[in-house]
Amino acid sequence: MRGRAVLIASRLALVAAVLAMWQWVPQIPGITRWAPIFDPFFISSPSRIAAKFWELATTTGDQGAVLKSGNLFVQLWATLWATLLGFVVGVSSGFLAGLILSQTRTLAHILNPYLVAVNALPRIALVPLIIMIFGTGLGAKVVLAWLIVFFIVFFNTYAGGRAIESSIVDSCRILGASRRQLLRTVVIPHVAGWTFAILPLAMSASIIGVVVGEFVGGAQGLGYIITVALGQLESTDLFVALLTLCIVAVVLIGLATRLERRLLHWRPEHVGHGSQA
Amino acid sequence: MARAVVEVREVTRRFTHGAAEPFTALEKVSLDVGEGEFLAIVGPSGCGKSTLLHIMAGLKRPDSGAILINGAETTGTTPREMGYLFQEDTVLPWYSVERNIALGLEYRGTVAADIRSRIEWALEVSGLTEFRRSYPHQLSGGMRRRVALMMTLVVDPKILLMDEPFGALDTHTKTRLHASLLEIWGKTRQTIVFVTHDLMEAITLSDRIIIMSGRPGRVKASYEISIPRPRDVIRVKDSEEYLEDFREIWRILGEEFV
Repeated sequence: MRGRAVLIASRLALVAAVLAMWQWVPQIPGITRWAPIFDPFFISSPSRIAAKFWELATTTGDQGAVLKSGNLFVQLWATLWATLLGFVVGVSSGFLAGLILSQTRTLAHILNPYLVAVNALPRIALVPLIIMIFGTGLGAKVVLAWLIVFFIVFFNTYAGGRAIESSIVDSCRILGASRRQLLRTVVIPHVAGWTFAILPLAMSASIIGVVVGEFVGGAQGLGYIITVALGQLESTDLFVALLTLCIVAVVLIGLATRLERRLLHWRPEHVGHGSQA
Repeated sequence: MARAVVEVREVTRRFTHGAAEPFTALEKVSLDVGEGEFLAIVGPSGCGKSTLLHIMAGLKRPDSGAILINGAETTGTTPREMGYLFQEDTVLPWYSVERNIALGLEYRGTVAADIRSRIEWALEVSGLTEFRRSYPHQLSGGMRRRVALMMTLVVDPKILLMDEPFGALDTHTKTRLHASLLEIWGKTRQTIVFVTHDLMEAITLSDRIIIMSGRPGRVKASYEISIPRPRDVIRVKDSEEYLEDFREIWRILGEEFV
C-alpha cells in the first residue's frame, strides 16, 4: 500500500515538473532568441491551454474561429460516435469474414492474393476516394475506420480459425458432435478468442481512422479542430484538441481492454488481472 | 479368449507425404481384442502404434487390410460405441470442468436429467467434484487429464482407445491416474486398447501386451500378464509376477535395439 502511494506521488510530481517547465522556461528573458521552439506561439503554455479548454467546454453556440458550431463536447461526441461505430462494424465484419474464410479453404485460396494486395495498400491513400464517395459527414469517417479495423480483426481471426488443433476437433467428433455442434462449441469459441484478444488494438485503429478522416474531409470532430487550428496557427487550440483526444483514446482503449478480459476470462494469461482491473 | 470385439486384419499403411522418403508404418498387422480385455500395445517410437490406433478409430484409412468392430467392417467413421483418449490436451479451455464432461452427452442428445446424474457420477469417481466450476487453465496437468478421461468415459463407450494418455505426466500423477483408471474400469469393464511406450505402465494396467517392432511396424509378440486383479498399482511393482513379466518383455523388446 505504501509502495503504491509513493508510485502515485512520483507520477504526479513528474507531471507537475513538466508543466512547470513548460509554463516558466519560455519566460526566461531572451530564451526564444536562441531557441525559437520555446516561443509560446509554437508550444502555447499550460495556463493558456487550461483557460482555452474551459472556454471551449463551457461556451455554447457559435465559436467563430475554431468551432463552427457547438462546444468542445459536441466535437468530442462526433469523434467518439464515429469511432465506436467504426469499431463495432469493423470488429463484427472482420470476425465473420475471418470465421467463414478460415472454414472454407477454397474461398480463402481464391481470395488470398486480393486480400494481401488490399492489405498492403496503405489505407490512408484511400482517404480522398472515400471522401469523394461518402462526402464529409459521418459516413466517410466510419468507412475509413471500418477499413482499418476490418483487416486487423480479419487477419487475426483468420489465423485463429486455421490454428484449431485437429486432436480437439477429432475428439469432439468422436464424442458425437455434428458439424453444427462442432461449430457452436469448438470453432466459434476458439476463433472468437483470437478476435477478442485484438479488441484494444482494433479500438486504437478505429480512432486513427476517424481522426484521419476528420483531418481531410471533416466538418466536425477533434481531428477537424486540429486542422482548423493549424490553418490559423493557433497552437493553443491544437493542444486543447490533442488533450481531449488523448482522454478519449485512453478511455476507449481502456474499455476495450476490460471487454477483452471479461470475454477471455478462461484464458490463462488473464488469471488475476480481473481482480486488479 | 472372449469373443473378439476389435479385429485387425492384415492392416498395411504407408506414408508418402510429409516424410522425407516414403516408408511403411504398418505392415500386415493382425490382432484381436477380446470383449472386456485390457490390451496394451508397446514398441519403440516410430513403430506405428499410434497410427494403428488412428486406423482402428477410423481417423486414418489403411492402404490395405480391414478393421472389424463387433464383426462389421468400419468405413472411415468412428463407431458410436467407441471412445478415444488423445495424447494431446483435448479439454476445451472455454468451458468449465462440468460443461466439458457433459459435452459428449450433449452432442448425443441425452436428456437433461440423465446428463446431470452422469456428471455427478463422473465428478465423483474422478475426484473432481470441488473443481466442477473451475476452468481448465486453473487445473494441474494431471487434473486436466482426469477431465479428458471423464469426457470420454461419460458417454459409456464399450470400446476405449487410449493413445499414450499419461505420457506427459510425472510418475506420481501417473500412478494416481493408473489407480483411478483401474478402479473405474473394475466396475465398467469396457474393452480397452492402450498404446504406450512405458513398459511399467503396460504391465501394471493390462491383461495382455502386444509388442511391436519398428520400421516397418509389425506385431512381434503377444504376452499375457499373469498378475491377478484387483491390482494395487503401487504394490504390484514389487510382486514376483511383475518382475518376471518385466524381465521377459524387456528381453523381447531389447532385440529391437540391436
